Amino acid sequence: MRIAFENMKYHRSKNILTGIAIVLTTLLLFLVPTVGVDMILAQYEMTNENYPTWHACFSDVDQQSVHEISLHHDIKAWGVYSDEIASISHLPDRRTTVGMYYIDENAAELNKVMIIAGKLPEKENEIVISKEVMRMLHIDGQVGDTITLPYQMMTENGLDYRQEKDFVISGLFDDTFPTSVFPTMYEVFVSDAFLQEVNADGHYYFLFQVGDKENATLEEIKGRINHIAERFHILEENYSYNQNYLFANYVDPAIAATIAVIMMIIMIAGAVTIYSIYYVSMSQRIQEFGRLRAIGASKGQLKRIVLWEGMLVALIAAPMGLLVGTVLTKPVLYFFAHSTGQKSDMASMIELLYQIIREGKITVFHWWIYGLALLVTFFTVYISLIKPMRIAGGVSVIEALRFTGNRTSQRKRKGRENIGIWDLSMNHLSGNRRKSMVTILSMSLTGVLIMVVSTVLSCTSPDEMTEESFLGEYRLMNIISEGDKEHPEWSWSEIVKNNPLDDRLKEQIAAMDGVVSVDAFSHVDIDILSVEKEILTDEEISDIVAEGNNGEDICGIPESYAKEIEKGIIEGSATYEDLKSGENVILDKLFFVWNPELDISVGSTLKVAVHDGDRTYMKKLNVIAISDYRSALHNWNCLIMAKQGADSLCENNINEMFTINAAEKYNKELDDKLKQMLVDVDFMYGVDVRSRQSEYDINKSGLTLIHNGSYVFFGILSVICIMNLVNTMLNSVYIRKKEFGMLQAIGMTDRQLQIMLVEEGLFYTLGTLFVTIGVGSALGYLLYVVAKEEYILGIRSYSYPVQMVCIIVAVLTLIQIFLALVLGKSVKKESLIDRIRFSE
Amino acid sequence: MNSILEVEDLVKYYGKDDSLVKAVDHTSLSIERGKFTAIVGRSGSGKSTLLHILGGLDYPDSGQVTLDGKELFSLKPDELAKLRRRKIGFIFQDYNLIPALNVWENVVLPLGLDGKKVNKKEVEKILDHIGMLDKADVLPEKLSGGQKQRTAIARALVTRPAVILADEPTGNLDSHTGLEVMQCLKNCVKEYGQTLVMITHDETVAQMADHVVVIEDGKVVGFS
Ligand SMILES: Nc1ncnc2c1ncn2[C@@H]1O[C@H](COP(=O)(O)OP(=O)(O)OP(=O)(O)O)[C@@H](O)[C@H]1O
Ligand SMILES: [Mg+2]
Repeated sequence: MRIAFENMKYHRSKNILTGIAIVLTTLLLFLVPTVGVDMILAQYEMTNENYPTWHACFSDVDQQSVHEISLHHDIKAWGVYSDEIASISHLPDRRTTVGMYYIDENAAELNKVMIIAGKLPEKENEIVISKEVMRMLHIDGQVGDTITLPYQMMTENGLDYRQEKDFVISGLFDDTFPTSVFPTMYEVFVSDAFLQEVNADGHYYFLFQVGDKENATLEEIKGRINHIAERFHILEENYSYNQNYLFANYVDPAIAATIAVIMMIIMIAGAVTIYSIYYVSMSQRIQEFGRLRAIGASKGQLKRIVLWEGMLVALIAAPMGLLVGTVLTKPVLYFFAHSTGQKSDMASMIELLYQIIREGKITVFHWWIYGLALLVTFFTVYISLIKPMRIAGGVSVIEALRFTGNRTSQRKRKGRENIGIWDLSMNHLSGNRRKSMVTILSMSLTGVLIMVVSTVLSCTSPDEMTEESFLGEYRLMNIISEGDKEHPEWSWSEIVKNNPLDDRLKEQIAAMDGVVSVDAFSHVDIDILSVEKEILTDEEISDIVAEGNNGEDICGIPESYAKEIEKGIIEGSATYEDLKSGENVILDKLFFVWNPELDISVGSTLKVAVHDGDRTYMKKLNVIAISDYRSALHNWNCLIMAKQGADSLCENNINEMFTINAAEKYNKELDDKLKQMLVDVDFMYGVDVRSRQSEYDINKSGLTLIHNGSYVFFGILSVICIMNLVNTMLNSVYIRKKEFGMLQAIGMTDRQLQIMLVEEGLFYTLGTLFVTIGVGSALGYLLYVVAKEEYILGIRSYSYPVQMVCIIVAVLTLIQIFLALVLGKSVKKESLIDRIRFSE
Repeated sequence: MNSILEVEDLVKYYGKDDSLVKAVDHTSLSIERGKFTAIVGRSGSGKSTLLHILGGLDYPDSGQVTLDGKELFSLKPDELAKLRRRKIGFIFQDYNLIPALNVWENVVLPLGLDGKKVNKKEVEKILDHIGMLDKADVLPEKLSGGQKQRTAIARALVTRPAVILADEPTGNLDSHTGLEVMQCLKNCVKEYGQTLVMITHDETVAQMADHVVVIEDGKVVGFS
């Protein structure tokens, strides 16, 4: 312990380098999970601020049951609101509704009814209303004002005759709910007293949260909700989950895994670097250990000296890393928030995130991450010391005394006749082959990692990503969500019955200023029942049909894209004409990614169930080709037909998407007009209106985030690995101090010494570059192929990371030359004679 | 007297105040060309310090050293290094061979540093002279002390320097080997007409010298 401490001081330069490596390792080990966890927490916070926070809702619950259910032990928070009591009349258009409800304080809180002034109603004639509703009714009021509202009571037989009543505004609430795209349903809230007066035996909606949600998974929570529902005999159609909220609060195990993998990479890079620093310095200390052995130190003691020395350095360095990490966390979080760009749709979300962090709405620092980072750091230091410890323990006395700086087993070596500076450099390097290799390999490890990731990153471009997923300049698309119990009308089979994307709309759009053409794409839900001779029994088929749409989709592509369809075929052959009949399909490669178990090839015949609204019928389809299209073309529906063919399968209007080709790349006016037009069109479903520009912005900000994150991460990682180069070169100078003195005594000039050092360093640089660029390029290409196959980040074409290679070459070369110069200077600083006299 | 080295009022002090060491204290001296000059004196009297300054390895606090009419310390460091490898050969007490190079390479290194081509015959002759020709390929760590010293001598001789400065070259050797090394050094010097300046504690070695300089506390106290 004492010796270890003295050693630590003595081998200062090495320990400073190890220290820096440890500080940086700890920093990364701390920063990565902290930023990761904080981002997740911020996202939760964002959700919690905006989404109602109830977990589930039971409907049609009477007062008695409300009381009983609320006593259940697993219910943490609960509140009730009434069935719709009445509907406000005199609204500007039919599709907008304003319902009148009673809501209690808890339910208001759980449902995020944001009272911005006043309070919930108590008296029979009090009401809470929103500015938006008042605007629609052309009234203007403040808290305390009396307003007259026309409404129709809700009866068992529908809405009753209109009546009017004077209400006193007890509070105002904000109903601009950020998640609803086109709000058409509004609410006003009245008091319990009013409810009692009009409807004594009212039924309620019962909103609740189950017990602590912290460490529960989505499934667990649902299970507990089901349990409660069962216990109180709540029918399945009478309860629903708050999907958005539950999902947003659910910790995706993939995120934890990603963070773990990144931490592993840091650990490995850190361990390799520390190991290599120790390894390289070890030979210099063999003599020292030999002497200690000679005066009676045991193997174990030598090992402990090395271990303690490393641990002492870690003891100082790790807390420093945490300190730096603590200081850097917020700037890094802001940096991430900022780097996503301000232009995009995400900007407001990022702004919110920024605010959440700034206002301290989440705990930014977590003690367990400090603990984890420390633990992992010490573990990293420990594993990197195992080998050096063994070397120290294995030093024999005689070896140490004979040791002269480089271990060679050869006795003789055929010499060169002439010997110059170059030979001296090479001689040193080849004499220290293992050390050189360890240095080069450990530096290359990081280098290869950087190369691989930057290859993939260089293959991504917002332009290409957008090109991959977007056709035309604007796009209208039906938002389909299958299996939403709250909104069965959002399923495709319902949408087609009243599809907003009809010919009238298409013509209307085509007539707009700046619009060149409009293309319609159709969508058919099908289930693949059998492939060729593998015949299913009728029973199996009816099972599949009964299960509803869980299968594949056909995409009907308009004729404008006939060329692209034909060009993208990779197997078999098909013309656009072939696809018009509704008998033939092209399968996209994507199909096999999703259905690896199906044995389908060109020539196969598929027996499918076609869903057309409520109707389902059987049909045979011939697979005539296999294709590799960009996702924009088929919109992830991987059976492809001509639009005409797809349309022939259905009686309903199956337009899923309109793509609009415009004269200008982006025109704000047109964008707004399109959005406005959709609001004006009578529809009750969601249609997503998007411009290529906004898609591009989203892609760009997403990619920028990934790029910046990666580069910051790799920046720090490379500094860790450069510690290696510094150590190796420092070490090679340090142990040859006397040798250099000697060489200079017999006439080597300072310039020659400098050249020699540069040459040696250049060797490390070239070696590292060779491995990094060679192996990195190869692996990078491999990863590109995988990414392309797996449709990751919209990668379609290969692009070599020229920029990164230049940066790596430049940085490494510069650092190395700088190092050589600094080292040369530092050698010069000590007088020649001191160096010659220097021994040990 | 035809002197090759002129030392004028040379001063080199180490430390300060209480711990002040006057390693070289106002020394003036001249070394005769082509002769063997021995420097003797007690341990710590400043012999090595003086020799290092003579060879341009160390800088004095004040004073001048003139080699063949050139003042050493007015030269730029790199010029001094060039002068060293052309005009001066050093032999150190602890050999100072480069461990990674074999005997031959160690010997020809000064030529390489000067960018000169090796005259193979010439080098072989020197190695033969000191009896190391058969060990030309051996690495220093496998050599005995005397062999190492002889290699160091060969290295000092290879550039045919005008002056050879030797710091106790026989200090680590038994008297028999010491004499052998001495003899070989003397012969070489004589053959090429070089000037030899050597520090020694050895009476018999000192007796071989043409001149003897006695140093005490950094001062020249005797010259013969
Ligand atoms: N770098 C230095 N710093 C401080 N003092 C020094 C230094 N180098 C030498 N000295 C001192 O200068 C004095 C002369 O040293 P020097 O090596 O010249 O003696 P020497 O005559 O060669 O002795 P020896 O016969 O033992 O080799 C000694 O007292 C020594 O302690
Ligand atoms: Mg001495």
